[in-house]
Amino acid sequence: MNQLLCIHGIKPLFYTFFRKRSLTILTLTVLLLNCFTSNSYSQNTKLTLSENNSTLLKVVKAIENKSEYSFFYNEKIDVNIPVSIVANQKSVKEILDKVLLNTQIKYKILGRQIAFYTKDEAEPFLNQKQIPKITGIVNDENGESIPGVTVRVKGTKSGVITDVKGNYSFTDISENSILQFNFIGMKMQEIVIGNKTIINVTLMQDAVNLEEVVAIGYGSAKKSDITGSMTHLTSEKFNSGVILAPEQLMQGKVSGVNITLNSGEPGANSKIVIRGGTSINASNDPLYVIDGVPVGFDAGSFLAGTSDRQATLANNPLNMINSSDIESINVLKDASATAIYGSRGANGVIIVTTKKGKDGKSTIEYESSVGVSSIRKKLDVLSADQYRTYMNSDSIKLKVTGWKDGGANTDWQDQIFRNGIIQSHNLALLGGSNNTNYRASLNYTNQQGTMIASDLEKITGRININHKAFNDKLNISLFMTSAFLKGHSAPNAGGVDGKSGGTLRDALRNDPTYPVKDANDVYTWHGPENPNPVEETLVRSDETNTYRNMGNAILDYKFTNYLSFNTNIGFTKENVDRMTYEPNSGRIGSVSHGNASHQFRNDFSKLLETNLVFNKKFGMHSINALAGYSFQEFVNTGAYMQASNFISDATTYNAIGNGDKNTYIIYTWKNSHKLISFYGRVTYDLNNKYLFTATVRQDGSTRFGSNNKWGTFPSAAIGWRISEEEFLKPVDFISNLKLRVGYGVTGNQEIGDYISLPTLSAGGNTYIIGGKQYTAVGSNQYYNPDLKWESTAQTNIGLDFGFFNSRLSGSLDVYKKTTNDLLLSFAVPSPAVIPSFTDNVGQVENRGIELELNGVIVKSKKFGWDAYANISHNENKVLSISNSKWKQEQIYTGSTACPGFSGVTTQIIKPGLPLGTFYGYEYLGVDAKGKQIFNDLNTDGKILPGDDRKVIGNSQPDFTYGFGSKFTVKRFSIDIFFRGVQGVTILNSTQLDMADKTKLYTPLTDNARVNIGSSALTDGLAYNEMAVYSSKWIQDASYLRLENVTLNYNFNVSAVKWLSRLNLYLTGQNLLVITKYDGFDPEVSNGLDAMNYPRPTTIVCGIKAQF
Amino acid sequence: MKKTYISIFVSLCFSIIFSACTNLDETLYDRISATNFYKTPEEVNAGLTDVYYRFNVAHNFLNQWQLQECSTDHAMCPWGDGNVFKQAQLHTWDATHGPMREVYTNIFSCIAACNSFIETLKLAKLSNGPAIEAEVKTIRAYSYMELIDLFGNVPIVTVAQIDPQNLPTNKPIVDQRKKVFEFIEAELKDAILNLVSLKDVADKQGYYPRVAKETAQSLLAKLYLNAEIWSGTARWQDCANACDDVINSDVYSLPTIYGGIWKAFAPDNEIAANNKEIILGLSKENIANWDPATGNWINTLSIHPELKGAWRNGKNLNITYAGWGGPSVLDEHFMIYDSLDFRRTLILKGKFYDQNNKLLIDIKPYSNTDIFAFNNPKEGLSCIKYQPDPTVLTNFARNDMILLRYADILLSKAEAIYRLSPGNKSTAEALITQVYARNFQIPRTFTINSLDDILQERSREFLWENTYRTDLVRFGKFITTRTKWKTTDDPAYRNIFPIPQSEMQTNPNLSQNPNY
Repeated sequence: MNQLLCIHGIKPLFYTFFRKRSLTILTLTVLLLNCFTSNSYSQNTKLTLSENNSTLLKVVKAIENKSEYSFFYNEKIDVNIPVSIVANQKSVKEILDKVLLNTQIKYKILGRQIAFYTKDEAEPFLNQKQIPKITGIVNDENGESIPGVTVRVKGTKSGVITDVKGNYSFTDISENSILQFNFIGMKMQEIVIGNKTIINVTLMQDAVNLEEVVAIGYGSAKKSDITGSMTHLTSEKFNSGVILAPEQLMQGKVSGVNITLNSGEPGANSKIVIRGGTSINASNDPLYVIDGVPVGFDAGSFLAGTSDRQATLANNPLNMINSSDIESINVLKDASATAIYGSRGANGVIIVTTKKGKDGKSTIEYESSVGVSSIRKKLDVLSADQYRTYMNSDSIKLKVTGWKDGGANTDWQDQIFRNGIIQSHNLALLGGSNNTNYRASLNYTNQQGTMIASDLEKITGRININHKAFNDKLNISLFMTSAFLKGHSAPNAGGVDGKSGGTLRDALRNDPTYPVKDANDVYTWHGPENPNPVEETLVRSDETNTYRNMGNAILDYKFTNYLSFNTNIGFTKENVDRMTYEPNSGRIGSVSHGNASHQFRNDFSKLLETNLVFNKKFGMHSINALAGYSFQEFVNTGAYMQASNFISDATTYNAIGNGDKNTYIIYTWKNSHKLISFYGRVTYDLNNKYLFTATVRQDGSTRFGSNNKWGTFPSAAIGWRISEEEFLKPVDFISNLKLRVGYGVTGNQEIGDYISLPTLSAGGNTYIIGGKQYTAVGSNQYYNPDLKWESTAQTNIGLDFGFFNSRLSGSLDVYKKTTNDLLLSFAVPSPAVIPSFTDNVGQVENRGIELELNGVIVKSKKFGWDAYANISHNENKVLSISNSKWKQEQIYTGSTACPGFSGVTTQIIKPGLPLGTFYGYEYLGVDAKGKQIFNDLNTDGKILPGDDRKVIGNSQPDFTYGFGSKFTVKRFSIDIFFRGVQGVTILNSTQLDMADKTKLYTPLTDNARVNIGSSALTDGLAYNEMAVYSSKWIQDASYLRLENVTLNYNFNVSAVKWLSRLNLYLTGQNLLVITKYDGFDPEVSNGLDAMNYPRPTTIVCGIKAQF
Repeated sequence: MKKTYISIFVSLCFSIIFSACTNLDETLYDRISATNFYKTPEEVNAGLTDVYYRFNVAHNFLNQWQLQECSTDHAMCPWGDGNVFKQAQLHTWDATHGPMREVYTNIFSCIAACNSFIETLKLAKLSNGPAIEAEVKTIRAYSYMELIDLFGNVPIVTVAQIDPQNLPTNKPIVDQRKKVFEFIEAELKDAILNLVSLKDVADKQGYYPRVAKETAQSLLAKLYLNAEIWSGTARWQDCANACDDVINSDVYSLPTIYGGIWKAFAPDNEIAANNKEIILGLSKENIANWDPATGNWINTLSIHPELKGAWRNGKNLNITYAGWGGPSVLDEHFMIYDSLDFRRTLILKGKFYDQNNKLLIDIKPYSNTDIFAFNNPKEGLSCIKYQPDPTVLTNFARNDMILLRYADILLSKAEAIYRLSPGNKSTAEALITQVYARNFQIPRTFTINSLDDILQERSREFLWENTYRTDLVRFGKFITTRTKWKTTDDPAYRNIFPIPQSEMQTNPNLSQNPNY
C-alpha cells in the first residue's frame, strides 16, 4: 500500500515509465475528492476521437490529451489490447463503454479520474469512510515545528498551511485520501490517512535539491539547468556567530574563493579573490549584485586621517546588509556565468539575495545574542625582567649609556587589548496575503574591538515587499535598505596602505620597565616617535559615521505565459564622514597644538535596466531568452578639511575654522562615470538532457579611450545531464551526473575615472614668487585614446554529481583563464612629466581545480550526521608585462611597511612567476661576528640587489580548503567548521621591525626606549647588525583554523501556544589555529603582516525565537 | 495574440528610447582639460609656477645633501634608513640607493615639466614668450648641470611626452657627458640673449627668486669651472670671463660686515636687502603641515632636541623648537677653521646653557668608530648655517634655501685665474679675501700657498651648500678623502654615481655608468 503513485495529468513521454509501476486500483480511490466537486464534468464534456486499429493505451492517451481526465490502473490491466473507436462529440462514458465492450475491463469515473479494474476486483472508490477531523504537527529533522508547510489532499486543490507551531487540521475527509506535505528545501512526503486521526509528520531536508532555483545574472534558473560554474550558499550553510561584514558568512565555504580579512577591527573588510588574481593595477574585487542592483560603492575606497598613525579606513559596502537578512549568496565563477555582466565580470560576481516575505500568517522572528571577543595570542616580546637583564648585561651596558630602569613590570599588550563585548538584536516581521507579501527587519549590533578605543555600532533596516496585480500579470517587488554605522578607530595604521606605527607598534615597542602612568598619574612618555600607546590611543578621537541607502523596484509584466518584460530601477547612496582630533592637551597633539580633520565622501549611483524575457517549451525543446538594456551612472564627491594650532581643545573637529588659518588644508573632489550596456542570453534545453547557454554583452564605458569606448563580451556553454541518459538509468547509485563545458570573455574596468584623458591639475602645488603664493598648474595625466578593457578569456569544464540518492553530491571544476590587455600603470622613463602611464600591457594566467562535496552520512530521526568539504588549487602565472610599444622585464613592487626601509621592494612581477612572488636575498644564517650571511648568487664576493636576489616565497597559496560536519542528536546539534590554506608564505614585517637591537635605546630621537621581539635575542645577529629584508622574514603561513563551532538546542515549545520555535545556541569563532607561523595570525591580506590589528576569538551566546 | 504583438511593440519602443542614452563622453568636474589651457598671462604664470614647484621639489634637502655632503668629510647622519647614509659615507652605494633614485627622477621630472611647458607655451604666442621660454630653459640647463655632475652620462630630452618606440638614450657612453655639456653651454648662451636682466627689473622684490640673465651667466661660469671634468677640456679662461660678466653686471654684492655671510641664510633672506648675495634660491615657508618642499627643515633635522631655548655668550640662539638631532658636521671639518672664524660659530659643539645658565647639552663629536653605533644622543655637531627661525611652527623654517651665491662666483674666478697663472696670485687672493675677510672681527686677508688652499676655503665657505663633492672631484680628491669611518681610497669610477636601477629597468635604452 505504500507504493502509491499518482498518474495525474499523465504525459505521453512518461507514460511507459509510469505504467510499469502502476498501482492497484484500490489505492487510486484516494482521488475521489474531486467527485464531490465536479461530477458534472463527465456529463458536460464531449470528445471527438478517431482511433482505428489502435490500442487501449493510445485511446487512453488521446482522451487525456483532449480532456482533463486522468486514468489509473494496475499491472493486471492489459492496455495494449487492440481496440477501435470513432466518436464525434461523445461523452467519455459513451466512448469507454464502446471501447471496453468486449473486454474484461471495467471502469469507474469519479470527477476527472477514471479507474480501470477487472471483474474480479472490488469496485474502486467504495469502502470510503469519512473521518470527521484530522490534525497533526509538522516538524523538521531536529524536531522543530515548521510553519508555512502546504498540506494538500492529493489530486485536489484543497489544502491548508501549517500555523506558526506547525499545526494543521482537516475536517470531513475520506480515509483513503493521501495527504501531501510540501515545504521548500524539504522532501515532499505523502501519507495515507487510513484510520488515523492524528498524523504528525517529520519532513526531511532535501540533500541535493535539483530543482533548487538560484539567482543568476538578470534572472533565476533551476540548478539542474545551469551550465556555468557557481556555488550557491543558502543561509543555513552560512558561518554563524557575530558577523558584521557579510562576506565572512561564506569564508572558507566556497571553493575557488579566497577571502582574507584585512584587519581584526569590527566591520573591517576583506580581500576577496575568486580563482586567483587577474589584475596587477586594476581592482581584483568581484562585482556585488544585491537584489539585482550592481553595488555602486568602491570597496577599495578609503578615508585618510590627519596623521600617518591614523589608519586609512577601508570601505566595506556589504556592511550595509544585515547578515540575518540574507537568504542566499551565489558566487558566479566562470565566464559562462559572469559574461552577462560583461566588463565587470572578470573577477567573478557575487549575487546576494535577501529574504522575502511568505504567504500565510504573520510571523515575528527575534534573535538576540551577546558575546565576548579577545585576542587569540600575544606576541612574544621581552618581558620587563628580560629587558632589564638584557640592558644590564655587560655587553650591552657598554653600548647603551643613559638607559634607566623604569622600575615597573608592564605588559603593554595587556594595556591596549581588552575583552570586547558584543551584542546584537534582530527583529523581523514577515507575512503576506494572496497578492502581497512582505518582510521587514531591524537590526542593532554593537561590537567593541579588542583594541582599546575601537568599536562599531551598526543599525540596519530593510523592507522587502512583493505585490501581484492584474490577475497576477504584474509583479512588483520593492527593496529598501538603510544602514547607519558609527565606528571609532584606534590609531593603528599598521599593515594598511604601507603605513606603520600606531597603537600596536608602540605597545610592542614600549619599554616594559616603565609603568603606564607615573606616580603623579601622568602617562609615561619617551618622545613623539615612541609615544605611550595607551595615551596616544585614548587622547585621539577618530569617529566615522557611515550612512548607506539602497533601494530598487522591479516591475515584471507578463504579456503571455511565455513573454514578459521587466524593469529594474534602483539607486545606491553612501555618505561617509570621518572626524579626527588630536588635542593640544595630549602630547601627541601638542606638537601641532591640536590637529583636527573632517573628511566626507558622498557616492551615488543610479540604475535603469529593462529586460524582455521569453520562456517557452516546444515539445522536447525548451527555450529561455533574455534581451536587455542597462544604464548605470556613478557620481562621487567629497571634501577634506584640516587645521591645527587650536587655542583650546573645546571645539575639536566640530569647529575646524577655529584653527590657525595658515594651517588649513582644504580640498574637494568630484568625478563620475557611466556604463551603458546591451546584453542577451539564450538557453536551450533539449529533452532535459542537453543544455546550451550563450550570452553576449556589449558594454560602453566612459572610462575608456575615445577609440575604444565599447567592448563586446561573449560566452557559450553546454551542459549534458548524463544521468538522464537511458544507459545510466539502470545504474542505481547515480542520482545526478552533469557535465558542463563553457568558454567566455569578460572584462575589468576598475581603474578609476578619466584615465585616458590628458589633464592638468592645480593639485594644491604652490610656489612663492615675489612673496606671493602662486598655484601651479601642470600636466597630471598623459593622453591615451586607445585605452580599453582588461579582458579575461576563461574555459571551464565541470562535473556535478550526486550518488546514492544524492546522499553524496558535489561538483568538480577545472578552469584556465587568461587575462589580456592588463590595465597596467607603469613607470615612464625619465624625463617624465608624469611618472606613470596607464596602458593595456601584459598577460596573466590562472589555472585551477576545485572540488566541493556534500554528504549526508547518517540520517535518522534521532541522529543525523552531515559533512561537507571543499578544496581548491589555483596556479597563477604572469605571462607578459610588455606589449608592442612598452617593453619591460620585471616590475619590483611591494614594501616592508617598516620605517627605515624606504625604497626597499619585497616582491617581483616577472613573466613566468606568479603575482605575489617575494624576491630578495636568501638568508643563510649569521657568521661568527653576528653578521647576516646571504647567498652570494654570482659569487663575486659582494651582496648586491642587482645580482644576488632571488625568488624567496609566494603569498598565493597552493591550496585553500574548508571542511565541516554537523551532528544532530535529538534536539541537540553541533556544527564544526574548519578551514585552512596550504603552501603559502608571508612577510613577517612585524618581526622584522622588532628585530633591531640597536633600537632598544635610541637616545638620538628624544630618548626613545624600544622593546624588541624575544626572537631578536636568540637570532644571533650582532648588536649593531641591522636587519636586511631577506628570506629570513619570509615565513611559512600555512594554517588550519577551527573557524566555527556552534552548539544549538531546539526547545520543545509545543506546550506554549504563542511560541512556534525557540533555539538557544553557543557559537565560538576562530577558536584554534594550527600553524608554524609565530606572528599574531598567518592570515593577512597581500602577504604582509605589518602590525595588523589581530583577528579575535569570539564566543557568542544567543537565542532565536519565532512567534 | 494581437495583444501580445502590441506588447512587443511597446517594449521595443521602450528599448529604443533607452538606447538613445549611449553618450559616453566624460564630464570633467574637478580637473582641467589639457587641450584648452595656458591662454591668459595668469594661466601662463600657473604653468611657470609648476616648473618652479618641481625645481623646488628636486632639491628636497635630505636627498641632494646626502649625495653631495655625506659622501665627504663635511657631514654625516646617524639614521638607519636602510643604510643609505652609511653607503654615502663609505662610498659603497650601488644603483639601488633610494635617495639617489629620488634625486635622479626629481631632477628629470623638473626637466620634463620644462619640456612640457615650453611646448604649450609656443602655442600661446605671447609677447613675452621668448623671455619666459629662456627662463624655463635656464632652469632646464641648471637641472642638466646637476645631472652631469652627479650621474655624468644622462640622456638629453627636450620633448614633453616620451615616445615608447624611441626611448631616451645615453649611448654610446664614451662621450655622452661631453654632449650634455655642449647642450647646456648652448642652451645657456641662447637663454642669456633673451632673458630679462635684473638691471631692467623695476620690482626686484617681486621678481625674486626667478632666474634672470645674470643667473644664466653665473651658471655658465660654474659650467666652465667644471669643464675639465664634465667635457674633458678645461675652460678656465671662459670661466673667468663668465665670472667677469656677472661681476661687471653689478647686480650682486657681498655684505662685508662681520658675519655678513649669515644675512644670506636669514629667515627673511627673501627680502631684497638681505639677498644681494643670492644668485639662485628657493622660496621656503614656515608651514605647519608636513611638506619638506615648501618649508626649510635643514636646521630642524640637524639640531639636537636639547638645544631648544639655548643661549650662547649672552645671546639667544632663537631655537624655539625641538630638533631631530640627525645630520651633523664631522669633527674633521670643524678642525679646519681658525678659532676666530665666524663660520665656526655656525657649527654647534660643546656646552650650551639656557637663559638661566642651566646646562642643556654638551655636544661632542661622534665617538664610536663603529659606524652607526650611535647611542649617545649628545654626539654629532649640529649645524645652524641657516639662522634659526623663531617662527617655526613644527618643523619648517622660512629661510630660503640657497643654491648659488655671489661668493661662489668670486671664488670660482679666483680659482680659474690662479690655475691659469699660479705665479700671478694677487688677483686671486684679492677675490678670495672679499669672501674671507668678513668672517673676522678684525678683517684678514687671504693668502694662497697652494691650490689646496682654495679648496679648503671653498670647503669652509660652502659647508652644506651641495657643492663640496663637485669641488673635491674637480680637485681630484673625492675618492681619496678620508674620514673617521672611510679609511681607504676608492676606484675612480666612484666620481660619478650609477644610473639608478629603477631607471635602468624602465628604460632598456640606457647604459650603466662604467663599473657599476
